[in-house]
This record gives sequence, C-alpha cells and structure tokens, in this order.
Amino acid sequence: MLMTVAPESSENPQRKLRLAWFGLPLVLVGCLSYFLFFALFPITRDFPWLNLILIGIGLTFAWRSFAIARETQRRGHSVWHGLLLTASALFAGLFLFYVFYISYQIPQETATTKNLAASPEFALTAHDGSTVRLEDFRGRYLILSFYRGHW
Amino acid sequence: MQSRYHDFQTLKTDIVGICVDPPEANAKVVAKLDLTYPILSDPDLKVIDAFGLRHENGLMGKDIARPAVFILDKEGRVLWKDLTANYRVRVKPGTLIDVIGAATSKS
Repeated sequence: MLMTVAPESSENPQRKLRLAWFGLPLVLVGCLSYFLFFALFPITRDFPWLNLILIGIGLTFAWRSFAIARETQRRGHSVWHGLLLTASALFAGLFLFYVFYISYQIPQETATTKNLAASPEFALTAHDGSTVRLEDFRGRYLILSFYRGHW
Repeated sequence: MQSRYHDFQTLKTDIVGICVDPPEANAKVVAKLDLTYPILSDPDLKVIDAFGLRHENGLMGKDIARPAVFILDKEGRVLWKDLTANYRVRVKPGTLIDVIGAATSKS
C-alpha cells in the first residue's frame, strides 16, 4: 500500500492523505483481533506482539496523515486528521492498559490455597449435564484448570 | 492443553476445566474449541471457594474464579499448582507434562 502510493504522493499530499483511512481501522483491527482470534493461541496471547505491531503501524499512518494534513494547511483537514489520530491513540492506549495493567489485577494467593494439601471433595455438573466427582479420578492424575469464564 | 491430550493420556492424567458459567455455556466452549475433556460448572463458587480462588467483583461486577491450575496426584493430594500473576498468561502444557512425568518416574 505504502509503496505504491509513495512516489506520486511526494508531489501530491492529497494522495498521501488517503493513508489516513488505514490508520484508525488498523488500530481497531489490532485491538479487536486479539480478543477474537489471537488470544486463542499461547504464542500470540502471552505477549501480544502481533497486535502491538498492527497497532503500531496504524498509529504511524494516523500520525503521518495528521502531520501532512497540517502541512497542506487546508481548513478542516488537520482537525479531521487530528480527530482520527486522537481516536487511534485512545484505542491503542486502552489496549495497552488492558495488556499491561488490567490483566494483572487478580487477587493474591489466599491462605486457603496456600495451605491446601489435598483437593476437597466435589461434585459438579459438566457441560454435558453429567455429574463429575473428585472420586471419579482416584488412581489417576488430575489437572484442575480454574478459569474466569464468561467467554 | 488439548494439543497434548495424548501425552496426558499416556501419563494416566485427566483434565477438567472449572468456571462459574452454566453447563450450556460450557457446552458451547467445548464444541468451539473441540475439547475432549469436560468443563465443570461451579455457579455458586462452592469448589472455587474450597480452593480459595474466588476473585470478588472479577468480571463486570460478578464473582468469578481467578485463573489457577492444580495437579492432583492419584490420591487427590496437591502435587503442584500455578497461580498466574497475569490472567492472559497460562501455564504451558509441556510444564504440566514435565511435572507429572517426574512424579511418575519417582513412584
């Protein structure tokens, strides 16, 4: 995209401004694709590098467009691109806030967990309606994976 | 964990997921992710509390389980646990396999 537009755009900033349309959408795709897709795979979930790259490119586009719009000095242009840049930065900020702050907001290990020597008995309803008990697993290892739910 | 299911089978290990969601919601997750292990529903957080894992006001004002993984041995004792500091980051299946493999070779 960038490559094909670049040669003409040095003479015509208007053309280069079309890049602006990719800025905010790229940031949005970068944010949302994490939750819809990339979070499913540990390699893109644990550190969201692919999403950060997408968001970074989107922000660069939005920033460049704003800078060019200011140079063209056409009324309304820089305001419009400034808004796009602001929105892009806002979404990028929210994503970073989630990744580097919110997802760390979980309680400390409780004394109950710390002192737990053996699993308490349990009987819970499985996804298929059957009842699953701790004693069903005697004689085998059992991995209990607690998770937040509400997918 | 599903990806290493056969390794877990070889190690005589079963897997269950536990969360506060109702069985119907869990059925959807099982179907979507093509899981061969069950997800158990703990809507009253009874078992979650018994493990000390309640995360008050954890998601949109509701109490949920904080993410945690336990390995129980053949008698139900806690062999190993992982309480992640970041709920986006979970323990790798390979780590679990190593722990169970080591325990198996000792016994």
